[in-house]
Amino acid sequence: MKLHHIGIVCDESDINKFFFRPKKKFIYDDNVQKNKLIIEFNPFNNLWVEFVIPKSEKSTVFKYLKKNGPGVHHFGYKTKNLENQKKILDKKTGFLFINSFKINIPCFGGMLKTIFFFNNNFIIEFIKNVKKKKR
Amino acid sequence: MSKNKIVKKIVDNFLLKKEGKSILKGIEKRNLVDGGLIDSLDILTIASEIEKKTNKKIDISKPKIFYKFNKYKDLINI
Repeated sequence: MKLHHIGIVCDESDINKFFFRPKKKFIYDDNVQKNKLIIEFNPFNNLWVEFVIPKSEKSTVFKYLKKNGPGVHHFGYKTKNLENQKKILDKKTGFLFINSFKINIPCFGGMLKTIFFFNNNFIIEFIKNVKKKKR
Repeated sequence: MSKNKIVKKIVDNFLLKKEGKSILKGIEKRNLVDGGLIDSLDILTIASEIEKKTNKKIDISKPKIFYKFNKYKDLINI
């Protein structure tokens, strides 16, 4: 499975302290997970880097940042069959399902369905592009 | 060692490491989540450790399972 992006949790002021700070940025507001997303594409590695910045205490990463400080939060993998991936990992011990979301990230190809799993003190995200239903 | 004893050991060690020796005194009467002793990240860590050591699947997305993390007695019998 192809590694699609690396998710880094930090405050906005921390971004410039990273070695891999973004040059050309895509910026989005995730009002469901209460985060600001600053995303850049690294063409040399064919990899996206997603900076996840909590916007409030209700953010899904607020506690994580408070507890662990800025740093790598998750690896994001692109999959063709999200439901099947969930079914497989649900059966495996050591993989804990955290949550699933729908989010529009245009630079990732538009509407996405995502699922998060916790494994060995690490968070893995699986993403799949979903087509908008025609009305 | 029985599975319940393994789970108890995992939970006790986690709480001792986090809060210190005095934490286990009267722990049965306290609410672990509502009382702020453990948060959502701690639940993931504890559940993951239980799965690893007991080979038992802990589905924290089920409310019935999730709420067991609030009471020490429920948790060690998960």
